[in-house]
Amino acid sequence: MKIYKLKTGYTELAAALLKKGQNVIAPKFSGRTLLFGKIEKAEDAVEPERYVNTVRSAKEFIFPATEPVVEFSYKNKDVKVFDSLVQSDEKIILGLRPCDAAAFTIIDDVFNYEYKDEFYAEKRKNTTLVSFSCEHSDEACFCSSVGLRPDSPQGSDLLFKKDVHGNYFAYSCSEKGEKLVALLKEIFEETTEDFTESPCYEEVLGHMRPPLDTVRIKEWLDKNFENPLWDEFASRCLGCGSCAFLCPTCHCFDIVDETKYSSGLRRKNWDACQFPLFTLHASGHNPRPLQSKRYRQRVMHKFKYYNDRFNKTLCTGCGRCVRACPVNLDIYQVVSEITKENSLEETLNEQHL
Amino acid sequence: MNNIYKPYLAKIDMVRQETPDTKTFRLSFMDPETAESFTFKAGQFGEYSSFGDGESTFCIASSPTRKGYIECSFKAVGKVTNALKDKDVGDIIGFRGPYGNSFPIEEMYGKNLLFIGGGIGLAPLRSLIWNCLDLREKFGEITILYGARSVQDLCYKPELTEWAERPDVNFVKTVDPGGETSDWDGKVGFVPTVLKELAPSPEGAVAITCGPPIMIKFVLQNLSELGFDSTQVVTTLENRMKCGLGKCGRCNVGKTYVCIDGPVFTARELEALPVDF
Amino acid sequence: MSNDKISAEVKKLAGELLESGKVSAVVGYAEGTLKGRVQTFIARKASETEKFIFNQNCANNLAVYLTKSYNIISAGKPVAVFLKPCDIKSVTALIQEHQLKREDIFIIGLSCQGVLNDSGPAGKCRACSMHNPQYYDALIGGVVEEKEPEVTDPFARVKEIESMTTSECWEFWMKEFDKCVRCYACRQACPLCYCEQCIVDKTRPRWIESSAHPIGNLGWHLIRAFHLAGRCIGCGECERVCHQNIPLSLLNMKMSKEIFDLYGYTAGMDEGAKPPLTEFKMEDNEEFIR
Repeated sequence: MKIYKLKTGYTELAAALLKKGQNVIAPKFSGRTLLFGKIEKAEDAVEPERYVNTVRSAKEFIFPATEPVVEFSYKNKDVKVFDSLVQSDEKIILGLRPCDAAAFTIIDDVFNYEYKDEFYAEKRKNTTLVSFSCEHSDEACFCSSVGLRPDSPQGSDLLFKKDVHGNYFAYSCSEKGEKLVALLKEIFEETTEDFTESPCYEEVLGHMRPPLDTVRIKEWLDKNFENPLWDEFASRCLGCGSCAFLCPTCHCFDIVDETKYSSGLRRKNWDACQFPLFTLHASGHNPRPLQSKRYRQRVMHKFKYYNDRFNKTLCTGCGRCVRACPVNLDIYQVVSEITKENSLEETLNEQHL
Repeated sequence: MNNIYKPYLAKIDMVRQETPDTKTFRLSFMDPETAESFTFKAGQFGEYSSFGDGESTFCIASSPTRKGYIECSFKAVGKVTNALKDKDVGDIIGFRGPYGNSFPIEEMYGKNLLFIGGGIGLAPLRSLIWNCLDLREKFGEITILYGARSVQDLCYKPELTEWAERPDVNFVKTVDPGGETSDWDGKVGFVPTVLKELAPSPEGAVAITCGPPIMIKFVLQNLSELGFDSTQVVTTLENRMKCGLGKCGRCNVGKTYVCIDGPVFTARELEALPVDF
Repeated sequence: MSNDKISAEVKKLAGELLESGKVSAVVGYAEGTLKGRVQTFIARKASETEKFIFNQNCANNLAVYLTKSYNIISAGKPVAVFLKPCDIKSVTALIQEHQLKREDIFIIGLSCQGVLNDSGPAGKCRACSMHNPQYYDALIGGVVEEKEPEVTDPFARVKEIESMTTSECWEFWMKEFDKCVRCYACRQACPLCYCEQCIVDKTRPRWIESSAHPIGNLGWHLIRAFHLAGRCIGCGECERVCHQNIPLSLLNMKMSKEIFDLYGYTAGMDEGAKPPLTEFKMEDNEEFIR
């Protein structure tokens, strides 16, 4: 991992990229909502010290909310199908948080195993992820619970950290990162200084929710597919898709056809396991007819099933679902209660012994 | 690009009205290369599309030993199946597949086979039945128990007659009480009940079953009472699917994706799954 | 009355109601995990009522839990629910639409000085002229003095939009709808969006495209607004739960204004009244039919 000192600030970095004709995606305001968006002017890119994180994750640039995958036309008996074009122009996602960069390394597995989803893979290949370590967290952040830190390099092509004087240092973590530094060689200079142990990030870490024990959580989930707690947790859930749609690792989707006259598109759209329609059979049978079963699926998928399959937890602790839930159904709180019950059980067992 | 979502185009060569709401299509691939190279195994499924309406999931109902075409049977219940129902010979639909695992046919060599089907659940069994009949010498006794709600709900009627006439097949048909007609020459009774009367020996046997969930439930129970070990019983599961590729995340039962790890499971494997289907 | 005192009162009342077996459950608010947020909480045992609180962060309209899909109302025993004056309007609307029977619920009416959102007093509260529950089974917080609202014209924001040119208006809404990801939090949080099958989920035929693209989003939000015309009581939950900050209340307010102008009707005020779009009168305004 090479380290480079950035000779400028954030806005100048964005400006330099734009000047080189790069396609830059970065957090910017749309009204009062901070979202990733294409940057036309460097000043529109909101500086990382001014936000904890965006409302939506960056997944939509690799796995969009809606994306045509097949095109077709039909006229009487003449049917034609075509591949939809993959919108895979090279782009740079700037101002990411480490949790969002890490999310891609988690969902890479599902999009690439057995059958490779080229729509995902192509965009992923052509996207450079430039992260900025977190200078603050908020009450919802819990990345340290799932093996991350405010300055984790996982998934980033280039990870920026700050020294105590406010200078940015870039850690290049991949070839794409190196390429980007080379492109902007006039504003970067290689250095041997290292901020891996920057006290500033330790402080952020200290302010975060105390780490969860994901091993114990999984142990509980392994044993408790049926448990009255599921009803208790889900009794207040409204069954919307806020949590899933804001989540950087939720990757479930629907496939729908849309037509106009004699042609149409087949689209891959975000979908959410909290919707009753998600699993409803045409026969009327629904394997998950109740919100408690749907909520259980969400927690199980994140902390057990994905782990069973890919050996990874399907959560980066970004806290978006916690912030957005209309009824404050807080997944961190839910899985903490699970571990509490786990310890209780163990204590009881020990007493029996 | 290798687009995993792009279907092959397939022409409907034959349509057969199985029951008032169930049809069978015989399909051949438009692209000669695909038609030549396409292979599948009994028990695998596909995504069939009516362009403009979407895709629907069902098994391939024909045998892999019958080359040059595939067949599928479906009941018109949802948006896509209702659109497919209105298609005719010469119309073009989409097909993605084959997906999923398959019946462990090699493990069945030398064994007595007991097929237990209900209603349209005969479709995946039919693929395997013909596959086995086409390799008849590799298997022991073959018993087929098939039932439906009523006489008119029996699928593949010409084939039922053929199986009944074959000396190397022990064929038993039944309809639910009240579903019989005056000229019905089969049994009257629910499939699990008839199975019990039949009392097949578990010795060197494999039971393969598919049908409505309630039928499967009691068939599994009765097989177990008859002494069948759960490893001797095979069934196929269905769940709502979209991609069929292990990605879209809705067909999972616990960590098991029906589309990738299934749809064929032994009763032993089913017992290990959480009750989420 | 202080928050602590009110919270103590609701805990006590909820406890008594469950203890005496008068109600089968109490739907209320509990402390949240984030600053300024509360959790909704359903207690079924008196021992759980310690969790209940009431303060200015209690923005959620709990009437949504009284709709059929929650299956919370079982025969025989009422369910108690915390309701602010504006939330009670949704109960009125649900009774009007035969979705709820008055005797099935025990209203814990909360007098309200307005609730807060992330950036201060909620918009709806600034135009509110109803700080005391219209009806209730128990009143918490006493009767507060009704005061002139800070914003006297509830339709002031709607009028701003109405003053735009058609293309400005189009641009404004398309920009807002562009942010929509179709999570349906607006629908799920709305007590009046109780349809067993929402039109957006119907596929035979598909009336509204489910994709989060401009046409799909426009279709969804406009049709939802139309379905709520003369029914929306203005609790503002749709806007509160929208993480993309789409000003959804504006659409519903616009419809409320149209209904008021055409029929002189305000939703959620009288359980005996018939919503104007569900009945026909000879004297109905016909000028809009061309």
